[in-house]
Amino acid sequence: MNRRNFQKNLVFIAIAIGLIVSACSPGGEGGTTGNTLESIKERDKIVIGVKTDYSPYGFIDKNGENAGLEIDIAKYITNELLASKDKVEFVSVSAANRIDFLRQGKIDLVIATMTKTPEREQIIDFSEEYYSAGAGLLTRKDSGINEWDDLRGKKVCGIQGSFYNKQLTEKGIQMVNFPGTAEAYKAVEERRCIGFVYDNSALVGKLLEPSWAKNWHQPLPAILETPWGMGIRKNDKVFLDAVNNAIIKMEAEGFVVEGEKKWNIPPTEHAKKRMKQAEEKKTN
Amino acid sequence: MFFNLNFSWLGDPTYQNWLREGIVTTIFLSIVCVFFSLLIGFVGVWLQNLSIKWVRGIIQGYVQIFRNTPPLVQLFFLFFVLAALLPKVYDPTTGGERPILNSFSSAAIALSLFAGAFNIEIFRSGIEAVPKTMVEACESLGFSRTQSFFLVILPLAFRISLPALNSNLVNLVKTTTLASAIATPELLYYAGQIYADNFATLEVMLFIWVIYVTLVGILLAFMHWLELKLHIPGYGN
Repeated sequence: MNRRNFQKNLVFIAIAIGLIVSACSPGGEGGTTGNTLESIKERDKIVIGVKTDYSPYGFIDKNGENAGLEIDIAKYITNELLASKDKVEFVSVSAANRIDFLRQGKIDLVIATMTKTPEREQIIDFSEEYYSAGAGLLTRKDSGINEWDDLRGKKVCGIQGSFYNKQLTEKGIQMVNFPGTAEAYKAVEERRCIGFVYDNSALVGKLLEPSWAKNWHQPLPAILETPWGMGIRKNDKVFLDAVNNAIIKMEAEGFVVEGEKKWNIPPTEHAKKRMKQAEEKKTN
Repeated sequence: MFFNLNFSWLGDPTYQNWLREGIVTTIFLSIVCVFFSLLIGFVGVWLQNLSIKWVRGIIQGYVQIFRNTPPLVQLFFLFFVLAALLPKVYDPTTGGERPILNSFSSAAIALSLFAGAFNIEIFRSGIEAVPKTMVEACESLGFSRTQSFFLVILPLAFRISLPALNSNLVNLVKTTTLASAIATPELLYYAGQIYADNFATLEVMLFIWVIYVTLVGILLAFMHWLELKLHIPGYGN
């Protein structure tokens, strides 16, 4: 084999690898241009990343419009920032792309059922905890379960690897955990378990389906709640403060508590607690 | 990386209970499946030897279906599809009538049928290796078909099949991990939960690796002992 050719190829391969690596690495801190608040005011519009597949928090309604509790919240925030709730453009995001979209500058704010975690806090900033989700129980309306202690000694379906499985086992519940939600819903429907413990926010969506709404409900308050935060690009204190002020104002008005009623979401302790805190802050 | 392994989860009483229960379930499931798969193998190969055409056809069909489909698919089929057709029983822990086959029995049946299909073929290979002169000798001595099968052919065939049978049974023990997919609380089912809680994936995997090596080692030691015990001069070494 020709030695020159071989070296040429080597150079090509090196360049190709370099290109691939640079394409894969997140685009540096390019998105951190400083003041998002100024730029949204300049263009008189805010772009918010929301869920479109997570009823009733963020979904597409019959008219093809974005709707849901988080959409209402997003409109409220828009109204606070730009003095009109219509100056917003919604971009559909998923759990896998929402942080990248934010860092690339495709969106200004993420309001997409995002749990605040230490890993995520290293790459983006989180707003105040505007909402939270925990473990809820889906069970038949006639199952006679009124509190978590009623489940002692009973078989309850769950999902393998959920962080609350250990605590529920320690409460004396016989957990029957499946690899995915499809198997678990089927198993609980077949009465292999008395109920299904899962993220209460996802169960709320399931209960909106007519076939489930009829005989099933979520009778227990959510436990082991983890907070949701809005995602904001790192080191943008002005924008973060503006969003946080809007959130606290919104909570003080009971907007989230009312929203839960509007969307048939079982009231969460978190929303009530935050409302009280926000009211206190206001009076101080 | 091997110097800072985190085995602190082994000290947690809940995890200890889980691991104990998981090991017991794995052993119990393995024993049940080994027993029934051997039974299926013996009965199947006997029926196959009866030379009744439609019985042979059924056995052949069973072997083809269960040998040629993935065991995971069989598990799901039995657990979710077949269970809906079978009668239901009252279960106070679920507050209603649940399908009669729970996850353990579904797994036991599916895996026994799966390994049983292989065992029939393994025994058939053994029977076909028994010299034809042996069968003729039985006939000339006035043995009935059943007598010659159980007293002469099968004992010889069983010895010839042992190496292949060992491999299949070892595989069966390892395949019990699939039962976690239908929530049978065996070892891998709990192990997955423990490393999801602690992010100690490597340590948990090392732990269950040791357990499975031990379990399979015990099975193999027994099978080798059996092989030696049944050894007949002139066959093998």
